[in-house]
Amino acid sequence: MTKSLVRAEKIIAVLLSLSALFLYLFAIHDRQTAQGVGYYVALRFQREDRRLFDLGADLLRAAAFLGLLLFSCAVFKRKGAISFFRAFSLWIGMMPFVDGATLVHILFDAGAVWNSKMSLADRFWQSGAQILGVLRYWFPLLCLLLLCGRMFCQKDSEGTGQPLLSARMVRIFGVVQGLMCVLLLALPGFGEVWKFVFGYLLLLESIALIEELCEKNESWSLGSFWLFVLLWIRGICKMTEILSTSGLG
Amino acid sequence: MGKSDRKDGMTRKNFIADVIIWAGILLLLSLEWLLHGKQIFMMDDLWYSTNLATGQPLRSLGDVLESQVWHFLNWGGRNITHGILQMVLMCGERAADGINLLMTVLLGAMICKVAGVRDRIWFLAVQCLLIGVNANVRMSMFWQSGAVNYVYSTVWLLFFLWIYLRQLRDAEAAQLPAIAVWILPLGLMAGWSNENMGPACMLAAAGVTWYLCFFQKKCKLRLWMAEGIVAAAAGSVLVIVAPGNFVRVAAIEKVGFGESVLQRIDAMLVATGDFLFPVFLLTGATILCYVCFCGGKPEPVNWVLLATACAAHGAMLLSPHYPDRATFGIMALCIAVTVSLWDKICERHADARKWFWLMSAGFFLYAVFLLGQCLIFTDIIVGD
Repeated sequence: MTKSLVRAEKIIAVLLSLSALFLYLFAIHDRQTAQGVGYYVALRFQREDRRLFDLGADLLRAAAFLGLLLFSCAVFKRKGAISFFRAFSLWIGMMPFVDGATLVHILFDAGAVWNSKMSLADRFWQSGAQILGVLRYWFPLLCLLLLCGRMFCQKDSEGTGQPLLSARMVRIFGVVQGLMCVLLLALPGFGEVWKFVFGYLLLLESIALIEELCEKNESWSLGSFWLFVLLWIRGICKMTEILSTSGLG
Repeated sequence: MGKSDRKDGMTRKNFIADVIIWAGILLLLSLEWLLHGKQIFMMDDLWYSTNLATGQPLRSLGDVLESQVWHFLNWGGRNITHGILQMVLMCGERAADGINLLMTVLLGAMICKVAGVRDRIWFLAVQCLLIGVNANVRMSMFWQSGAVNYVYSTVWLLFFLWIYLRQLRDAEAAQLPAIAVWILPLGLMAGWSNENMGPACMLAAAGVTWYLCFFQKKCKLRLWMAEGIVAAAAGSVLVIVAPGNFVRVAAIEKVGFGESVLQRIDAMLVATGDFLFPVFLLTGATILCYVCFCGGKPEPVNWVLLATACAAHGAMLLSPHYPDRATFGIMALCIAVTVSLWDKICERHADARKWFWLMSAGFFLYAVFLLGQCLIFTDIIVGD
C-alpha cells in the first residue's frame, strides 16, 4: 500500500514539476520581454537588434533560477523526484518573484539606488513591510517544522535522540538574517534583491528541515506531500497573474 | 528549592504571562478602535444609508424593512445582514465603531469556544490570526458593510454551529435553557446570513445530528436539533432563491456558459492559492504536525469544522464573483481548527507551548505593524 502510494506520489510529482517548470520559464520570458529587459541592455550597448539580448536575458535568468534551485537540492544531497518537487513547490509558492527589470536597474544604475534620500521613518515602514511580507508565510511554517523536530527528538530520546542538524543551521542563518534586516534599513533601494536573498536563505532552511524530517518520519514524508501540492497551486496562481499582467500572456 | 518556592515561581511566571497577554490584547484592540475611528462610511455604506426603494436617507425601522423588501426582489438575498447593516448605519459612525469592536471581541471568543480552548493566550492568538492570515483586513473588518457581512455574521454562524458541536463533544450535555424557542430565529439568521457560510453551517448541523442520533445512536433526536436545521434550511433557501440574486447575476455576468465555468474555476484557484493560502498552509502544517509527530487524531469536531470550511469554499463555485473578503468565514473556521490543535499539542508536549507563544508573537507583531501602517498612511484605509 505504502509502496504504491509512494509510486503514485512520484508520478504526480514529476507531472506537477514539469508543468510548473514550463509555466515558470514562460512567465520569466513573458515578463522580461514585456518589461524590455533585453531591449534596455541592447540600448546600453548601442545595438539596434534586441532579439539576441532578449534571448540572452531569458537564458541567463533561467540558468540562474535552475542553478539556484538545483543547488538547494544538491547541497542536502537530494536527488529524487519528490525531493525536487518539494524544493520547487517551496520556490514557486513562497519565494518572491524578482523582476528582471529591477535587477537590470540595480546593475546599471546602482548609484541612484544607493543614494536613497528616504527619511528614517519611511525606511522603517518600507523595510518593515518588506520583512514582514516575507516572514508572514515563512515564519509560522519554520516554527512548526522546528517544533516537529523538537517533538521527534523527545520521542526518540530513549534511544539515540540527537537534535536535528538542520535546527542548528536555522539558528546560524537566523543570526545572518537578523543582520540582514538591519542592513535593509541602511539600503532600502536594494529591497527587491534583499527580499530574494532573505527568501532564499529561508528556502534553504525549510528544505533542510523538511528533508531531515522526511528521512526520520515516514508518515510525515507521505502526508506532507499535499502541503506541497498547495504550494504548487499558489505557484501556478502567481504565474498566471504574472502572465495576465505582463501584457503578452 | 522548596515546594512553596517552586509554587511561588510558577505563580509569578503565570502572573507575568497574564500581564503580557492582557497588554497584547489591549494594544491590539486599541489600535483596532483607532482604525475604526479613522475608517469613514464609504462605497456601499453610503447606498445602504438610504431607503433603497425611495433613495431618501433612512429615518426609521420602517425604512429598513421597505429597503430589505426591495433588496430581496432586486439585489440579493442577504436581508438579515444588510438589515442589521442599515440599523448600525443609522446609529452613526462612532456607535458603529463601538459595535464593530465589540463584535470583533465576540468573534475571537466564539472561535475559542468552537475550538474548545480556554487559555487566554489562545484568545490573543486568534485575534492576531484574524489580521495575520486575513486576505483583506480592510474590506472584511474595517469597512462597515464588510464588518457586518463577515465579522458579525460569522459570530452568529459560529454560535449556531457551537450548539451542535457542544452536543458532539458530549452527547449527554444538558440542554441549554429555552433552546427550542431561540434556536428558531438563530437558525434562520444563520441560514439567511450569506450564500456560502449559511448553507455550509446548515449542512454541518444536519451532519452532526445524523451522526449523533442515527449513525452512532448516542442520543435521541431532540426537538431543538430538528428546529435549528429546518430554520437554517429555510434561511438558506431564502438567501439563495431571492429574485434579486438573479437580477444581479444577469447584470454582472454577461458571458457564455463555457467562459463562465472557466472564470469560476480560475476564481477558485485564486481563492485557494492566494486569499486562503496563509490560513490553509498554517492549518495544514498544524494538522500534519499533530498527526505525524504527536501521534494524535483530530477530533470529530475538527473534522466537522474542516468539512464546513470545504463546503463553504466549494459553494463559491456557484457564485459569479468570489472576492477575497468572502473567504473570511472559511478563514475563521480554519483558525478554530488550528488553535484547537495547538492546544492539544500543548497538552501532549508542554515544551511546545513556547513555540506557539513565539508564533503568536510573530503574528502579533505583524498585526500591530499592519494596523499601525494603516493608521499612519491614510490612503491605505480610505476607500477606493
